[in-house]
Amino acid sequence: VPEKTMNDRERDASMERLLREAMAAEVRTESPQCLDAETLAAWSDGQLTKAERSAAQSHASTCPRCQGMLAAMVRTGAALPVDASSRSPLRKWLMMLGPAVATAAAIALWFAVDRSQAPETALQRSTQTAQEPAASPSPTALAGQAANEKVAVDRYREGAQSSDAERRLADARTKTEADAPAPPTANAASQRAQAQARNLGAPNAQAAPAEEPRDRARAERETQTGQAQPPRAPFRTAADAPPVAVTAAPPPPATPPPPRPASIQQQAPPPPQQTQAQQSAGNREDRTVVTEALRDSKVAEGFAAGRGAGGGGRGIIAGAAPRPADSLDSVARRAALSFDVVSPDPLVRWRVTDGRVVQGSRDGGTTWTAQYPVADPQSRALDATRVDAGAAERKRSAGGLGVSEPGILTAGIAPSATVVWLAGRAGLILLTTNGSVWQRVKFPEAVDLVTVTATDARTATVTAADGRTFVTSNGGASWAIR
Amino acid sequence: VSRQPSRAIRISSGLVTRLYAQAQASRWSVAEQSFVSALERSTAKAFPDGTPDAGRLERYLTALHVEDLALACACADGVEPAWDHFVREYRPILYRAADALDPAGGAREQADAIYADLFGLEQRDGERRSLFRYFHGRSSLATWLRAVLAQRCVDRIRSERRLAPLDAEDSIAPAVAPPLTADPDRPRFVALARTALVKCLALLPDRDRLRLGFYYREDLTLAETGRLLGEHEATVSRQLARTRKRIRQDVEAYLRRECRLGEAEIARCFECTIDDPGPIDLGELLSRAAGRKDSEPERST
Repeated sequence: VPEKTMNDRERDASMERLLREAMAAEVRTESPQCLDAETLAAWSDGQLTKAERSAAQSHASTCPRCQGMLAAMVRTGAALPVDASSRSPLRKWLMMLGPAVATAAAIALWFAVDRSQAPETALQRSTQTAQEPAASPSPTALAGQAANEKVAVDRYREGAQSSDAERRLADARTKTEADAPAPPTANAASQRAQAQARNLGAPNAQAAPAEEPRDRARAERETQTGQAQPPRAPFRTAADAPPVAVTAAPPPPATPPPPRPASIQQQAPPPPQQTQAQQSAGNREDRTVVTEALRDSKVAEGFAAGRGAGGGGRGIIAGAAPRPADSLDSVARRAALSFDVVSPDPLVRWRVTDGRVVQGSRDGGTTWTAQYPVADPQSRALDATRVDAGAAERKRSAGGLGVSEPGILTAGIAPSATVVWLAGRAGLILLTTNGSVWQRVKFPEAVDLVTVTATDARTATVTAADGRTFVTSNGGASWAIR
Repeated sequence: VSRQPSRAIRISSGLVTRLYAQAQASRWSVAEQSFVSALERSTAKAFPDGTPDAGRLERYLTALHVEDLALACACADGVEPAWDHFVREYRPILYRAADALDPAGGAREQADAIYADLFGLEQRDGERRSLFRYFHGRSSLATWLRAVLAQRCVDRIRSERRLAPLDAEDSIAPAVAPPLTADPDRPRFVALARTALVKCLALLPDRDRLRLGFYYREDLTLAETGRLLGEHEATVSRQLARTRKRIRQDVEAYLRRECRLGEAEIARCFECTIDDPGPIDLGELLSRAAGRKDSEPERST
C-alpha cells in the first residue's frame, strides 16, 4: 500500500515523464514506405494533397526515421528566409483574406456597438462595488490596481507556456482595459482626464491632442467619477462620431493650461491611502480572472519543466497598491512574490505579501491578521540567521537566471483549515498546524523551492528549482529525495 | 525512384508552351523535349495509378514550380550558366540548412557531398545520372535540397549510432543500476505500466501519435510541431494536453479493468514509473501500435 495517494497533477507529471522517456528511446527503422525527398519537401511546402498527406502522416506516425527527417526539415526551414514562391496562390489569398475580414469586422463592431450603453460586466460591477465605501475612487487606487494587473500580465507573459492560459490572460487583460482605466501612474490619469476636460470645455480648440477613442472613453469615465454627466449619445456612424485627430499629438503649449474643472481639481491632489481591507476587497474580483490565468501559467511552467504543476499556492497578486514612489520594477517584484493560499474552507485563507509577510483571514479575506514574522526577538534572530545563511546561496546562484533571494516564500498549500505548508527560496519551509502559529521546518539543502503539495501536517512534497522532489512523511523531521 | 514514364502521358502542346514560357526555360537553353520529359516524369510520379483527366493534369502541372524544374533540367543536362546560377543561389541555402542541423559544421560535409550527386559523377549504362532527375517540381528547389540534406544527415546519424563503440565507462559500469529500494513489486508495476502504455499508444489516431513523436522524441517546439502539422501552436499545446490526459485515463482504465488493480496499486504503478521509467523501446511500441491499429476500433479524437 503506498504511503500516500498521488494526486492528479502528480499523475500527469508521471505520465508526461513516462512519455518523454519512452519517446527518447530511439529506434529508427528504415522501410520502403519511408518518405522520399520529394514527399518530404512537398509536405514541408504544403503541396501534398489531402490523401497524400494522410498517407504520409500515417506512415510517419510510426516511423522514427521519417519523424527525424521531418524534424530536420523544420529545423532547417527556420534558418532560411520565407520562400514566398512556395505558397500556393490560394494560400496567398487566404493570408490576405484573414486580416481583411478581421479589419472589416472590427470596423463594423466599432460602429455597431453602443459603447456608452454597454451592459456592465462582472468586473466592472465588482470594481464599482468595491469602490462604493470610498467617497471618491482615487486615480492612485485605480492606477495601483491597473499596475498590479499589468504586473500580473507581464509576469505571466514571461513564464507562460500554455496557450490556453495565455488566451485567458489576454481575455482578462482586455476585460480590464475595457472596464477600468489603466493609467501607468496617477499623474498620467489626471493629465489625460485634464486633457479630455480641456477638449470638452473648449470646442474651438484647434490643437486637440490625438487620442484613441477608447482612451477618450476612459478619460470620460475618469471625469465622471467626480461629477455626473449626462450620457453621451451613441455615435453609430462616422459622421456622428466626434472627430478623431489622426496626426501625432502636438507638443504641449507654451502657455499655461486653462483652469481645470472642479471635478478634475478634486482628483488632482493625492487621495488618502485606502485601507488594506478596502484595497483587498476592491481588487479581489478584478484579480480573479488574472489569477486563474496565472494559476494556469504555473501549471504550464511545471509541465514544461517536466516536474508537474505541484504547489497549491494560488498565484493571486495580493500585493498592496503601489506607492507613487515605487518603481515598476519594485512593484513587479513585490507582486510576483505575493500569493494566496486557500484552505478547503473558503472562509479560511492565508496570503503571503512581498514573499515575506504571512497574514491569515477567517472571514474569506475581509479582515487579515499578521501571523508571520512575529515581532519577538527569537523570530528576528531567526530571520537574521536566515538572511546570513542565504548570503552564500545568493552568491552561489548569482550566475544563473537571477539572484536567489533568501527567506522569500514562493508557494503554499493548505490541506486543511488549520494546516498550511509554505515553501520558499533557500530551503525555506514554514508550517502551521493550528492555522496561526508558524514554525520553520528544517530542510536538508538551501535550494530554491518552487512548489509544495501536502495531504496533511505530516506528509508533504516540495519541488526544487532544479527539478528534484523532496518528500517528508513525518512533518518535516526528515526528507527523502525522490 | 525516378524512371521514364512507362505509359504515354499526353500533355497538350498549348499547356507545354505555356509552362515552358512560365518556367523561362529558354533562359537556360533547355530543350523543350527535355522539359516535357521532366513534366512527364513528375506526372508519372504523382499519379502512379493512372493518367489523370485533362483538368486534373492541368491543375497539377500549373501548380508545379516550373521555374525550378527548368533550372534542374538545365543543371542535369550540364548547362554551365545554369550551374553557375545554382551554385550562386542555392549553395548558401544548403550551407545555412547544414549549419542549422549541425552548428559544429559536421553537416556541411554532407552538403558538399550532395553537389557531387547533383552533378552526376556516377554513371549508369554510360549515362551520367544526376540527382536532379529526382526533382519533380512539387516543392521549391530549395525545399527539396533541404529534404535531401535532411535525409542524408538523419541516415548518417543512424549509421553512426549503430556503429558507435561502447564507451569505456559504459563497459565498466553495471548494466543495470541497482534499485533504489528493495521493492519486490516494482518490476511488476513497471511492466504493467509499459503494457498499458503500449495499449494506449495503439489507440491513438495517427495525428496524435505523430504530434507526440515530434514533441517528445524530436524535441520540436510547439510552433515547429504546428508548422509541420498545419496547426497553430495553441492548437498543438491543447491537443498535446488532451492526448496526455487521454493516455493517462486509458492507462488507468486498462490497469483497472484488465489487470484488476485497485486505486492504490494504480498509484503505485505511477510512482514506480516516475522513479524508474526504464528502457522503453518506443519503436517497438509504435510498430506494435501500428500493427494493432487495424484490428482495434478507431476512437474519436
